Amino acid sequence: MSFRLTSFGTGLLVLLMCFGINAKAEPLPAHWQNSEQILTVTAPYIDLRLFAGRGYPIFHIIEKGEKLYLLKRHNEWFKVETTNGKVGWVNRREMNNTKNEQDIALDFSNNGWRDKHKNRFEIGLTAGSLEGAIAFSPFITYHLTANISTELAYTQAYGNFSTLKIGAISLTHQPFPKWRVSPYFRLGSGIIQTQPNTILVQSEDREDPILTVGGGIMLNVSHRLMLRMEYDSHTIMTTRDVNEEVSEWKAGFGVLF
Amino acid sequence: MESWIRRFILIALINGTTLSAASFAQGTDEGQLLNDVVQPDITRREMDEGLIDSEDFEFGFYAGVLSFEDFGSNDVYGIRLAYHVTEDWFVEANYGFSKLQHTSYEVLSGSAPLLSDDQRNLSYYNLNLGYNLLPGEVYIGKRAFNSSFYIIIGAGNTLFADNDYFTYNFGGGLRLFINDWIAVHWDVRNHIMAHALFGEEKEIQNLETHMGLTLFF
Repeated sequence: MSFRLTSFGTGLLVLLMCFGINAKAEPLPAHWQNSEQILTVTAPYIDLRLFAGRGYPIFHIIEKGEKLYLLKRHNEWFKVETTNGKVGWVNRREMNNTKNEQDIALDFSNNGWRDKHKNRFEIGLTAGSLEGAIAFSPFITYHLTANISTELAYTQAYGNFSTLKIGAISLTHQPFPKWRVSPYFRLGSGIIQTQPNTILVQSEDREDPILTVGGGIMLNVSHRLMLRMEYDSHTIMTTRDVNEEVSEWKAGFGVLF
Repeated sequence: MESWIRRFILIALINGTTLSAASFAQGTDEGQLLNDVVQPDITRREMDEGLIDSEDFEFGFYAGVLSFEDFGSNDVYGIRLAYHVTEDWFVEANYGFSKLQHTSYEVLSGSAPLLSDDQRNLSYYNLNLGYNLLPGEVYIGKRAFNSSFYIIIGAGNTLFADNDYFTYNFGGGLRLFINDWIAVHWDVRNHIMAHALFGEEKEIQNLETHMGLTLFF
């Protein structure tokens, strides 16, 4: 009697195992065409959020061994789809708990500010004082090498009697690009336009070439954000006998992408 | 009779559990079990993240009302470009333009207007740092929309009456996502600047509110 029961138990177990195997071999959705985008969860589970941010609610979890399809990225969040069609967002940290179809774990993490070299473009804004007048300059930088970059900047300064506009292109050199707080030097050239405030005086606009020598320090906050402080000495090549020298202090930020 | 049934059930239970436990132990290697619990230091393969489609930029346009001190409330139109640095921080650049009305003084006194028609054309641009303060969901009827209330602060330039004016601006807005790459904005901003059009220098605050549509790419 007991023998019969045991064989019945074994049969049940085999049946259960068969179901288990069947569940694992479930076919993938037809639109999962690119196998490089298919990842398998290796952690006990990962959270799936409604949208790209920790403030959005978790509505689903993907369990260990389940597959997901990587769709796109929105800063530190990855949009994924599960085999049963749930679409949500996973944080970068949690993406490291996956492996690809070749059983290889991909490196999703970033090395903080040390990854800044992956971004070649930088846009930003500095504000400060140009001979006592409020000045601000939006700029765009392209990093040619780790040391050398070229920058296009537009500066506007609001003096009591006139508005100054400077359009300049410059080269900067960072001798120690691997330092987090890194000094740099600048050589630039451009055009300065002086517009007298029309309410006070009626006079012509002037346009003169300008040469810039300067330097500063930049702080790499993250691989996408940079803070900088700079001192520039401008020489305005006026049409008069003497050149004018103006100095500028400024501080600001740049975003790398 | 009763004890016979009890013995029968007990035997069945014992047989069943020991058997399944034995087969389970055979199926799982000890090392495998350890691997499952302890994740060893895995050497990870470098990945080119550029291959994954990213949507960190936002571009769009807006229309609204700019209340310009002494010069009435006027239609304002503009374009916006934003870059989302992290889920919290973003930078945005705006360019907007408007047309100023006559001041009450000009209308009532009937004297020569203070500004020519051309000088009433106003344009501004600014660069702002923004912070997503309240991310969450907003419900409209039965539908839920992802949303984010944000604040911004920045500086820029206002051009009107043939002059440039340094302008600070700050404000807040609500970003409502229609899907994950189309968003509707509602913004309120305050543009602070100083001008001396009426003789003495005067600091003015110009409130603006607008609705906009942006796309992430």
